[in-house]
Amino acid sequence: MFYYKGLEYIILPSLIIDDDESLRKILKRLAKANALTKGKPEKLQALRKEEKKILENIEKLRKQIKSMKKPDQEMERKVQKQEQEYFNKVHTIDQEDAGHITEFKNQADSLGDLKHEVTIDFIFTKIDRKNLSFEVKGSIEDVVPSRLSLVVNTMRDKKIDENIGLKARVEGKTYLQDFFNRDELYFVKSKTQQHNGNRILQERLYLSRLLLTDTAISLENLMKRFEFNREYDYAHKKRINNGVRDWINYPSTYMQQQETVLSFFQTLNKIKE
Amino acid sequence: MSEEKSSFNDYFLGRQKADTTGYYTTPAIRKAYFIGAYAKAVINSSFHSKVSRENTTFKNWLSNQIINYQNLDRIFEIAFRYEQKLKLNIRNQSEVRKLAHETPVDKAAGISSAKISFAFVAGFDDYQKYSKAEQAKSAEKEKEND
Repeated sequence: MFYYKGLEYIILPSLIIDDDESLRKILKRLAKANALTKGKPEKLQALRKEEKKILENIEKLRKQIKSMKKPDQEMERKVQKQEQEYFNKVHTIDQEDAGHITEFKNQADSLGDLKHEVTIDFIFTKIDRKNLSFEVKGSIEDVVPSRLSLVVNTMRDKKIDENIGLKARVEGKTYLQDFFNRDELYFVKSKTQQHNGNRILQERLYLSRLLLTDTAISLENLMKRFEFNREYDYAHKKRINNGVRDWINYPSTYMQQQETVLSFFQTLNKIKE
Repeated sequence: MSEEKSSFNDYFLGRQKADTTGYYTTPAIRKAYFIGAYAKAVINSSFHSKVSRENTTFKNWLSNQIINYQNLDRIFEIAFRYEQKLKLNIRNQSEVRKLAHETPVDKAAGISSAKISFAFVAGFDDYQKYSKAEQAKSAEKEKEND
């Protein structure tokens, strides 16, 4: 059983060739990977706390420098040191805080040399611990591990971010959430995500399935998503400022992201007519 | 001099060449692309209009438009009206207007607003790139002449 940011899922490996020995090894490795992921949310939280602390420190030092009359080299150096630390911290967080597809890849990677002998099914479930029953919410089947690496590498090459959230944007990055997780973001904005768990899961599954299996997206569908993102923000309000649409003021920002996504899907051969 | 002038049409041809889906071969898409570029041209040059400087009426008007196939002609007409009203000087004797105007369209184009507006914004953005590139060129030339 794996947990990841509100997703609960089971990984079922199926061997291409029957071999009990390998199967046992695979299950062992998956159990190990599972144990490793357990502490992840806390670790991430701790990292974020540290990040915040450093930021506060920098602020404090800056204030002190401002209040002083003479420029102090010692203080400047301190600030620089903290800034460097902050930069490193952000970098580690970036690496730790992966989106769910990267997470799937990491788990497949834990199989090591055996990963070429399996295809993987992901079964998404909801466990009711009171009744000791569980419900299957959806699944992605027959994922080839090399496919996972291909998708993750292509995303990295094209600077595409698959994380979902309302954090600050990094310039030059393209966010898949702008086009594929709009319902989820809307629920978060309107604070109704508790009641819409199913829709959120379905939306995430749609994207994962699209990227990991043989399904393709039509140009029409993709362009509809582009259009929606151009016109509306996460709260479904029009992207308009002083009576002028954002895309009229900044056409290249939108165009560049759209083209990145388009070429991403073309590289993966995911566009159908 | 004249042979050094680059045409905006090259931008479209470049896109058409790079595209593998056959998206840009549809005449309606081509039309949307050039009208988008024309709209950007009108917005750009109405900023330097001799009649009324920093005029943004067309920009505001366009913000309230739905960009779909039915509306394309209207956008073109209004853009043209502003071009005349504000006595705009558009690069290469209004090359984009001619390109937009000359592109033929088949009547029975049941094409979605998503596709039309994508092309519109593509043309819009490309025109910005085009005019920046042209400006850089003429600035360089002035330097050489100095």
